[in-house]
Amino acid sequence: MRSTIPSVRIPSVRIPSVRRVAPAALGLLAALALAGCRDERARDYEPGVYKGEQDEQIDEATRQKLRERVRLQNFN
Amino acid sequence: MARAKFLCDAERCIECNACVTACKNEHEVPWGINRRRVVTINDGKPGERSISVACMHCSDAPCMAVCPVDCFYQNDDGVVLHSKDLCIGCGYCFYACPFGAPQYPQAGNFGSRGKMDKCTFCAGGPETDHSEAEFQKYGRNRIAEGKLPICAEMCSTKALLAGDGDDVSAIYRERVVARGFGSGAWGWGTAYGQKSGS
Repeated sequence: MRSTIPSVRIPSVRIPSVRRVAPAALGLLAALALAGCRDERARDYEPGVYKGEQDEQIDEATRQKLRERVRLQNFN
Repeated sequence: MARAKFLCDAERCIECNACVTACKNEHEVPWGINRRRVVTINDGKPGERSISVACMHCSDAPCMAVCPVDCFYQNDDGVVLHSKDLCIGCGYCFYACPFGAPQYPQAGNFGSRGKMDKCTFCAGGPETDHSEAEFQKYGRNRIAEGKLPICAEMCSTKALLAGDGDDVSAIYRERVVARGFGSGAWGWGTAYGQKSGS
């Protein structure tokens, strides 16, 4: 009697040898390890010069609002 | 603002410490750090005066001059701010400051110091305005919201004034003329190199 279950052909997978994978894996690991050492801080020090992140300045409308608020402090 | 300044009218300060509490609450300042303090001189004696002290955002800031890593900067309004990413917690600014403004959190055992913390004039830090990082490192940025520092806005007697230097000194001058005495703008001369109220 013939079987009704269709036969499935499993494609043959070639497992690469450890010798071929090891250098690539080591390279990847080294790259990851070095990425962890990456630092955004300023390293090129220049005396008297601020090398940090630049601050946003307030616009003229906000400045005007602040001036009006200062006057509210005036009571005798 | 032409130049942001603080002015503490010693004739009006009643040592209620509302400025200290408001500052701590607004910026969620950690334990052991006070960005603002109220100091009383001649306590219990005739001539007793109280003054609210914090960073005065000096015109020629000595902290900026001594910082070995140049972590300080002054924004367009003259507010002295610093980057906690650059600060190494050396403590030089603390020794240079005539107001004792820089504060250091305890970073570990054996007295090791963390990054310096001080009053920001409620102007945050170099991080993006209103970002979580800015709030965590420097506290709320009220200036970007169009509000003045919380300590001055909370002051019940308006002894502590903050804002544009010209407006602040005009208010103070008017007061001195009205009451006919007092030159109690403590620290003004030291911070801005001018006589009080000028």
